[in-house]
Amino acid sequence: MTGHLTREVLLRYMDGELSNSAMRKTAKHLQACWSCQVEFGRLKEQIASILDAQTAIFEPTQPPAPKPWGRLEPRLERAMVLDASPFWKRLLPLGRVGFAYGAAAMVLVAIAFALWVSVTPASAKEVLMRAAAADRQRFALTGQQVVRQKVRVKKTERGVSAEPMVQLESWKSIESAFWKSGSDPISAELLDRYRANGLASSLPLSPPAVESWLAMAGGEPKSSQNGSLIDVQSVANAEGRARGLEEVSVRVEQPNWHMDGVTLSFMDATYEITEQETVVVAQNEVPGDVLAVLNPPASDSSSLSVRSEKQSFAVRPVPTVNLEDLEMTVRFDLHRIGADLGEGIEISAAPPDHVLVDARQVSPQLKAQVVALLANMPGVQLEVATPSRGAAANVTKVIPQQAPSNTPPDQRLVMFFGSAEAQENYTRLVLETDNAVVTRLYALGDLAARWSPDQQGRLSATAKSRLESMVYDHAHEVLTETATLDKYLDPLLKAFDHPLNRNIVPASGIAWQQASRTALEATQRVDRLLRSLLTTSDDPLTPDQAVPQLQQRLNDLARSVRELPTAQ
Amino acid sequence: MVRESSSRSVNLRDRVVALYEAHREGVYRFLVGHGLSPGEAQEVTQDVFVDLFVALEKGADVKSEQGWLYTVAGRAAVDFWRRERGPVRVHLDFENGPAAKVASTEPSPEVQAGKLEQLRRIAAGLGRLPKEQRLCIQLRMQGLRYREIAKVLGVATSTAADWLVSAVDYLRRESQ
Repeated sequence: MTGHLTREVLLRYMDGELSNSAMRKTAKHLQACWSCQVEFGRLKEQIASILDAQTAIFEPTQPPAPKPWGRLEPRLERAMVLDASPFWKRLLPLGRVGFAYGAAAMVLVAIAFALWVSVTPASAKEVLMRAAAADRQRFALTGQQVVRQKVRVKKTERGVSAEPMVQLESWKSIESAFWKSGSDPISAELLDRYRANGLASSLPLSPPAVESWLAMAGGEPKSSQNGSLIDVQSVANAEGRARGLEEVSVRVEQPNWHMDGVTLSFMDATYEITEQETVVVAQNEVPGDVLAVLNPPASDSSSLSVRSEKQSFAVRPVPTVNLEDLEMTVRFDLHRIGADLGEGIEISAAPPDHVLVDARQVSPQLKAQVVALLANMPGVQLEVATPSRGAAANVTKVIPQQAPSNTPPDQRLVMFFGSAEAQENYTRLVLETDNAVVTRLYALGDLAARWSPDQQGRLSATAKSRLESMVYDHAHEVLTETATLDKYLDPLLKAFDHPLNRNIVPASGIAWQQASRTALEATQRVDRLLRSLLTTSDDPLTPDQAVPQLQQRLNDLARSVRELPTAQ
Repeated sequence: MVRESSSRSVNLRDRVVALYEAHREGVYRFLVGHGLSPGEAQEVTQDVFVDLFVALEKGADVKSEQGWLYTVAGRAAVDFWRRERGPVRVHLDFENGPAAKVASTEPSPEVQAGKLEQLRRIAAGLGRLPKEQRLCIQLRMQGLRYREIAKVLGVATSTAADWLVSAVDYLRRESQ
């Protein structure tokens, strides 16, 4: 057995959310594979930590209820009374005299209702619910079947009169999907948009895809009827628009509640996807190359691991490229998986038409994630080949150990920590936190170096929103981590009579680019001092030398960090 | 017959009141954690328990009362997002909240501090997750199956599963 279980499979296995056959297969693999057993154990530990964090920290840090809790009984009793009354009594609390009027009113209401029903289409939610249920039933699969879908995709770009149209064939088994986009750029672009919305394993026109696009739009769907066709439209809310989506429109044939078309309107282009054919076929009718993707030969290896064997991925053409937007998309996607934090990925625009991503220096696990994320993204050339099996191939964070030194340890430091082990643990915590600040500030510095305030002002709305989102994320983390660092260092500084100054007034009106550069310089100085004080360093400092400087530098750091932007 | 029905209602009422005493804080904090204002969350919390009572009275098949409460609370959160249409921000008060004192069985203060720090990172990560992913993971904590979570969010089961996996992966990275 060569492949390993993915974390998704392990999580689904743990949650009992795999099919019976997949459960058996996974259990069998786990029995045989130590690596997966270890990974499974780690996953369980992570889940335990998440549960602890939720109950011990997340929940208690929410604000308490503003008022004392009232008794529930009066409300329940009202509900009991309402529920016990006959329907007509609840509508007509008028007594015998009013009953005749009430009855007449009810007849009128019934007539009005009948008229209304005859002219009003079903609600959007009901239409979607019925259509999803019908299509799920229509295309329910056994393990030996797949769905083949042929759709027509028409693309309309803002400001471009041509409306190119292509045919796209796609396949779906129970577990995965394959879009036969070939070298066609429109299909590849569409696939990329689906991937970005977590729809890599969906057909273009399917209930999961439609539900997910509508969820992304976030607006209240509305329906309108034209003969036997019902259109359900959802105009994107602010959040949907921030993700580049403007509107989703779904067409449903009413007699059989079948979704036969969806239109996705993004800021820059609209894709009209119309069904030509969707059929369930036996696996033996599926072409070999398609089946190889849907059911990879080594059943436990995911398509991810198959793909990750490739060393580089040629750029896929994309018809009209705004390189800055594309680069921002790449950076944003990498940011979302944490790949912009000290992982050594280099991203550069390569005019005229692509972005180069050099991920040769990253860890194998992250490399696989980067491949899954970017290998098929149009306009991206990805390099992942490891240069050599040298030391550079694996970048490991080294936490300095206390090694024998010619300088005897300062007795006051020894007294402060109590034991060498305590000092070592303290040093590890402090340097890890310090490292987290440095890493975030480097990531922020990269963005600042890439986009000056002027360049930021010229970005498209989507790109600008993505840049701001990354900046806020990093700034938030820097603030959190520096607060933690202060907390760790304050007792040490107090013990040596140089407590931190908490009355810091930040400067105002500084661009985040400048603020992040200042903060990086400040944190680098703090980092050097900490290493000189706490570790075996080429440039050791005694507490008397280090602590006053540390106090000053930490105050500088706090001041510069408070100049970073935070989301309101 | 009427007396039988009334006695059943009283029993149900007492059961729901007991659940209210036990779970109202949890449901309230769940709702606040998904963006509702404290005042609104407190109102909706009571509504959730009244809804449970009405459902039980009507003979609904409620397998897990706690799961049911969080399902209804989850729907309320989703309705709130749709109504408000703005980003959901979660504020965690590490300084003043009870989270500052987490009990630990670890003997060494340094290990305790390390563990606490890790939990804080995860909690902060929970606060930064996209709202859908946070809802997925918190409903899963309450014992909901993937299809039930998907129903609350109005998405496909596979989408809910993808969001859950992404959330766990993100929190793993945050904990390191």
